Amino acid sequence: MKTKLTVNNKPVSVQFSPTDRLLDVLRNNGFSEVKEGCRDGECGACVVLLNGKLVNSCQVLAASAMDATVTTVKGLEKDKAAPIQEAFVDAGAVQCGFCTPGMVLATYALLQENPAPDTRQIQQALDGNLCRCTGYVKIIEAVQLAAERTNSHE
Amino acid sequence: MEQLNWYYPEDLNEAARLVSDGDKAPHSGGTALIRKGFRKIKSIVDLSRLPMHDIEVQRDRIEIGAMCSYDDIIRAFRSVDPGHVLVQSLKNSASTPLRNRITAGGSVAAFPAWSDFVGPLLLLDAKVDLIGRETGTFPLSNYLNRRELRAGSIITRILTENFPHKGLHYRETRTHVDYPAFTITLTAAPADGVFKGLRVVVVGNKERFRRLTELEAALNGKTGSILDSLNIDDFFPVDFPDRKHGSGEYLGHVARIALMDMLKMIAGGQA
Repeated sequence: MKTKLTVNNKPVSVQFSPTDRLLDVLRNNGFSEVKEGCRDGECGACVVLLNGKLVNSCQVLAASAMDATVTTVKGLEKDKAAPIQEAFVDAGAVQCGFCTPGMVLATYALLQENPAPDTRQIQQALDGNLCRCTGYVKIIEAVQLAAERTNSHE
Repeated sequence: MEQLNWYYPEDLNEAARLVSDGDKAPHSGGTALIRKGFRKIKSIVDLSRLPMHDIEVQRDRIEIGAMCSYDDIIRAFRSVDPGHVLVQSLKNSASTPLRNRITAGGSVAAFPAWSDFVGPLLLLDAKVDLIGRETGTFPLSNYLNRRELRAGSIITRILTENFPHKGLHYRETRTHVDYPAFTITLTAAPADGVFKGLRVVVVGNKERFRRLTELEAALNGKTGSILDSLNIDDFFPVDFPDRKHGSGEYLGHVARIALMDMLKMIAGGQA
């Protein structure tokens, strides 16, 4: 099967088999920032924005994403992504880094909709992203810090 | 593996024709197909281009297009009734990225044992609009119980009652993001400590779901003090299978405790 996706604002022609997952199609076409974790929709390492919505790319059949717009962590608007990325570093919310692309994307999706989330809202927005290193406290602090910095710039 | 064909119908008639022979798997974007695997599937009908994305919440009724995601449903209630029992159940179901993907129609059609969606729908006397081999509007309970309604048909819309009742949704899980072993959902009208319009549904038991009509009849019209003398075993004819969460006997014990707590909350006006 073939389709033309728009990945990070650029057209990308892709070929895949009828049962391939979006995760594999993206990684096979060079988007290695989309991490392969559990392949079961549990860990959030593979999340992308599909037509603007945060989804587990391992749970999306590529054939059901024909002509879709996909945003990976590398395709986020720089002025909105940078405060999130810097906040994760400054808060010590990055250790091995494997979950970080997913965490940043989930944070971006949250802040797009809710610029000043409380702790509970952060926990809920990141409930599909697992981290086996940090224990989440610093991740939640990073999201709060990112929100503060984003709001102070606007 | 043999070649697997995808179809992309753009109108309901075309979709009905495609699915009615029963040998093509409908796909609305959720996780059921990936989890079940493709071994027995030769064709897939993608439903995403069909006009089934609308949701309407009125005071007395709710209409949910089959392609609405869990997140779409939560959003639709945000300004109308953020504490609605459907929101309570869906907010805690799966995870954010999965709630963006799992659809109403697909969730009902697949009806996994851990469904958080079906309990509230049964309480709201939901009906489903079908097209395909069977066409028309059918009570959800019939749809879930009758295999012949499901094969060769797809849900286009879910219709429910709506009323300003208080609702509670309990999910028995080991961790917050776990699949529930069972759910209990109840609604009741606010009525100063008197049970009124009480409805209770259990999902995930051996029968898959059960509305506790005997309990409803015993409590409706009575004050909350009746709970002090109520033997819940007399009104809880529900058996659970053994699950990873615990034995069937254990789950039954937990369910009775959870249900009593929920009833006390309703009676005490804490819901």
